[in-house]
Formats: sequence, C-alpha cells, structure tokens
Amino acid sequence: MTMTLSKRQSRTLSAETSTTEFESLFELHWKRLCGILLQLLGDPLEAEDLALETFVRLYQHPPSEGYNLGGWLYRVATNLGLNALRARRRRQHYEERAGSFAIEDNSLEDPSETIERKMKQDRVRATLDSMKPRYAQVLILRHSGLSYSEIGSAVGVAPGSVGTLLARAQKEFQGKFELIERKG
Amino acid sequence: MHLSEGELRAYQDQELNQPATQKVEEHLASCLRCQEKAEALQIQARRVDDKMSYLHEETIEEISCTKKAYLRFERRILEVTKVSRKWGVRYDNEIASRNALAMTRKGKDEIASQNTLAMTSDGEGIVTRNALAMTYDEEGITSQSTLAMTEGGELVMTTVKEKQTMWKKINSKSLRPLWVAILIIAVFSVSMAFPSVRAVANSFLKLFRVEQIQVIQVDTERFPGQLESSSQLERIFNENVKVDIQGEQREVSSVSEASEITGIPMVIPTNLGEPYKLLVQPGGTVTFQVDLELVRGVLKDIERSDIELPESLDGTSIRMEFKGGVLAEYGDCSSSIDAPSDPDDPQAPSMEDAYGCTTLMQAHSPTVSAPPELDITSLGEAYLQILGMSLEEAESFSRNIDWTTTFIIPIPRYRADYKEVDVNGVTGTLITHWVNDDKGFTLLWLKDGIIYALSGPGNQATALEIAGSLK
Repeated sequence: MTMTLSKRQSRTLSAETSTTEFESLFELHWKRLCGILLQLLGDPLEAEDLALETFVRLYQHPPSEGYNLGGWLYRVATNLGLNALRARRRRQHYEERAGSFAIEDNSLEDPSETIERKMKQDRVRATLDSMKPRYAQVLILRHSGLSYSEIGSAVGVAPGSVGTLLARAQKEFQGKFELIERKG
Repeated sequence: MHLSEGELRAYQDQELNQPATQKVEEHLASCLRCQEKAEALQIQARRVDDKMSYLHEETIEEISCTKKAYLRFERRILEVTKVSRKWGVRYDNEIASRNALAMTRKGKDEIASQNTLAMTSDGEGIVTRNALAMTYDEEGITSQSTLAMTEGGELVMTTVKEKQTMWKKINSKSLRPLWVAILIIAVFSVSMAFPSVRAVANSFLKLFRVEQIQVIQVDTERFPGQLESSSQLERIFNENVKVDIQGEQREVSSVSEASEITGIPMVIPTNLGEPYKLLVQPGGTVTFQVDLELVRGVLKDIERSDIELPESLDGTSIRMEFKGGVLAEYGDCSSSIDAPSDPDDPQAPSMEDAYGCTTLMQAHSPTVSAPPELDITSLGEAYLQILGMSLEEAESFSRNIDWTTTFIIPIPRYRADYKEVDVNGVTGTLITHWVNDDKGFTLLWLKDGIIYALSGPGNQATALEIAGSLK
C-alpha cells in the first residue's frame, strides 16, 4: 500500500513505513500546519496542540491508498482550527480575549495599538467562524500561501474549481465582515 | 462566452497555465463586461487580503521546533494507544509480549481487512505465535483464519466461515430496519465524526423505552477511542445479541398505503412537494442476553474497569420490540443515509453528496421488556461514564432522569448544538450541526406514541418551517 504526498513534495510511504519516515513527514509539514493554525487561532499553544492532534489522527486513521497526504493534513488541521474557533465563540470568550491579550502583552507596543490590533484580528476570526467552513478553509489556505493545486487536494476539488470557490469565499468574507463591523 | 469568476480569480492569482492565460487576456482585451467583472473581483480580493493580513502578524517564532514537537507527538501516541497501526511503531523494550495491529480500509468506513499478530516471549524465545486474519464485507465477517505455531514449530491454520455480526447487520443495505434508520438519522448523523460514539449509541441506546428525548454533549477528548476496536464488544454482538427482523424494507407509492401498512396516521411536510421515496420499514425484535464477564471485558478494553456494574445484571435478558415505520425522503438521500459524514475524514461522503436531502421518519415508539429486578439506573450511569462523565457527574445526571423512558442522544460538544423547541404542540429537540460546509439539523419529537425524526440540511428556521408545514 502506498500513499502519496502532494506533487510538490512528491514521495511515497508504504505500509511498512518506519517511524523515521513518519518523522520525515512530520518535519515536512509541522511548521506550516502550525503557521496556518496560529493565524486562525492566534494562540501558539492551541495551534501546536491542534497540529499535534492532526498528526495523531493521521497516525491512527490514515487515509486510503493514493490519498494526498499533504491535502489531508491541511484539511483536517483547518477543520480542527475552525471547530476550535467555533467552540471559543460558544464559550463567549471573544470579548474577554481582547482584554486579556492586552494585559498579558509585554511588548513595547502602545497598549491602545495592541488592543486595536487584537480587535481587528478577532473581527477577522469571527468572520471566518461565521462563514461556510469550506469557504473559510479555502481562504485561510490561500492566505497561508498554498497553491490552487494544494488547496484543491485539501478540500477535495479539482484545481480548476479553486478559483470559483475562492471568489465566492472572498465575497462571503467581505459581506460577513462588514456585518460584524457594523455590529461593533 | 464570457469568463467565469473562477477563471478570472485564477488568472489574477496567476494560477492559469500559459494557454489559459493567453485565452483570458485575449478575451479581456475585447470584452468590457468581463473587464468590469475582473476589476470588481480585484477590488474585492484586495479588501479581503487587507483584512486577512491582520492575521499575518502572528509570529511563528513562538512555535516549538520540529524535534521537540515530534517528541511530544510520540508521547501523545504512547498515551493514546499501545497498539500500533500502519506506521509500524514497536514496543519491544524488555517486554514479555508485543502486539501489532494493522488495519486497512476500503471505500468509506468499511474495514477491508484486519490483521492481528501477537507474540509471547518467556525469556527463552518465542514459544507461541498466533496470527488472525479477518475479512469483512458489507454484510459482516465472511471468513476468519487462524494461524498458530506450536512449541514444536508446527504450523496449523484453520479457516472458518462466520455468520453476520449484528454490528454489520445494522449497516446492511438489505436489512435496514426501522430502529436502525432512527438511530442512523437521529443519532449517527449528529455524532458523525466519532465512530466510537456510534458504537456506544448502537450498543446501549436501544435498550431504553422511548417516551422522551434527552441530549447530552459528549467531550470527545474524554471518550474512549478503543471502544471501536474492542474484541469483547464484537463478541457481545456475535454471542449475546439476537436480531429478528420481520420482513423487508419496501417502497410504497402513496402516503395512504404507508399509513395502512404501518398503522401510523402519517403526516407529510407540505412545503417540500411530493416525497421522492416512501419506504416502509419492517418491525422486529432485538434480544440482549447480558454476559457480565463480556461487558466487563469491554470496560477493560477501553481502560474503564473502574466502572461498576451490578452482579444482578448477569444473565438478564432485555428485549426490545419495534413495529414498522415509514421513512419519507425528499431529494437524493442515498449517500447521507448509507453513511454518516465525518468532517475530519476526507474519505467520508460529504453533505454535498446529498445536498438537498431531507428525510422524515415516523415510527411507533419502541418498547423494551426487561426483568423488574434490572438495575437500569446503574446501567445508565455506566453508559454516561463511558461517554466521558465522571462517576459524580453521572450520578448527578442520573438523579434527574427516568431511565426507563428516556432516549439519550450523545452529541459532540463543539460540533453540534441542541435546544428545545415547540413542534406541533409538543416539545421537540432540535440538534443543529455542521457537516463539512453545510449546516444540518435533526429535529426529534414524540407525540401520541409516535417518534418523529426530521433531518436535512439547513438551520433552525428551515427545520421549524418544514415541521410547521406537516399535515
């Protein structure tokens, strides 16, 4: 049995794949997965935790033969990230978060700028959270630098359809963002 | 022919190949309408980029280095399971026995093959060696082979055909009785991401008489992942559960015919048009003879031996009887009913596969007969603990529930929400959940001894609108 990575990182793994090979796969995707989740969640610890969870799921329930492993990892990671965002909203922590970040921040930045920045970020995250998950997923992956081909693998569509998804995602984002901004 | 938004987006993102790029440029040069569309798209993209760039300020430097992270990953794996799957991790440091389990999957959720290899060492070398191979098809285990090596080095192989397991029977397309449909629609569609939740729902929920519905949110992190692979659970289904289905599912041509066959005064949503399919589900019985040793084996498999079960449970026979029901389908429902979606499993069918599929199940509420001495409260508390509650939480919850009449539905805490709503003069339970990109709902209510389960894509408003149109 073999499983393939994305074309750009073309390589294969077999059923007898050793831990060394799994480690290589881990090394290949760890930072990038964390980067995506960090943008989405803004919390390095949570981002790492979900990236680890993604690899645990790959380890425990790997996709079937021929599945693009890179795409699988990005899809599962962004799903987990979006679920975490949703959970956060349910716990009604958004407002508290903005305040706590400001207090915890030890940088030399002007506190009012810090708060303003965090509020903007929270608005973007709230917008992503309110969008259809697939659109949010496409948008995050594109803004994390993934190509159409990689995004297509992650969301399970042909690269030729990614442009359409992305255009719709941007439209939905813009509409929802304005709505959230109006609500304050 | 004008350019699509997708083509323009891909062009602006420089994701088209050379011939496609040239084609777009040639068209744009002569088409004012597409030029305007392209400009609008570009402005929209720029605005979104600006906002998304707020997130780029997060610093990746705070992320642990890969080596350190990999060590954490290894630790987590060791915590999660001592069974290695597919990747071949071995636990062979001064141990007397070692186990490796490899599973491969075919298609969606079907297990195509499962192999178990166990070796035992007594310090002098391997004295026994066993390999077990099972093959499944849609209807259950079809064959099982055992290979054993004796101390003398002789290899003995036995192959036996096995009858269907209940586990597989409930997923069989040819035998999909009413109660299975209820569980699949009302429970499985909500617990879509968690095979283990499905296992528990199957093995416990049906034991209780249904007169009211109660939802509990399951924290999946506390849920025992080993349940699905518990060999003891499989044994229970093979040896202690007897399913008797009276007849076959059949399609009927009218609501009145369905009512006549089942004796249910059927209601149908008037705002969805004619049903695409009306399926009359047969009734039947499920008998469960409790073997306490096996049940405790399951608890041991899931590392919850701390859960206490009363001795009086041993040998108890619990019988559930369900009469016929009717499933009305609107739209193409083939994929959503056959298999629940898993948002984290890219192999699983998505809601898109069954976009527009709405179903309404109407059935007589099942009844359960069990000896009066059955300690159903203890059983219920054990069930809650398996779902992740502590003993104290389970006891507290249990105090406020009538286990003899309540249908407990576990839903994943962060992926589904529920609330009580008014449906046709009674209180119903509305569960909303995300399935990949789309929001879905399951609305459950009981009225005059009939249980109703309305499921489909959409939100609360959609669900209540459909329910409100029932006549």
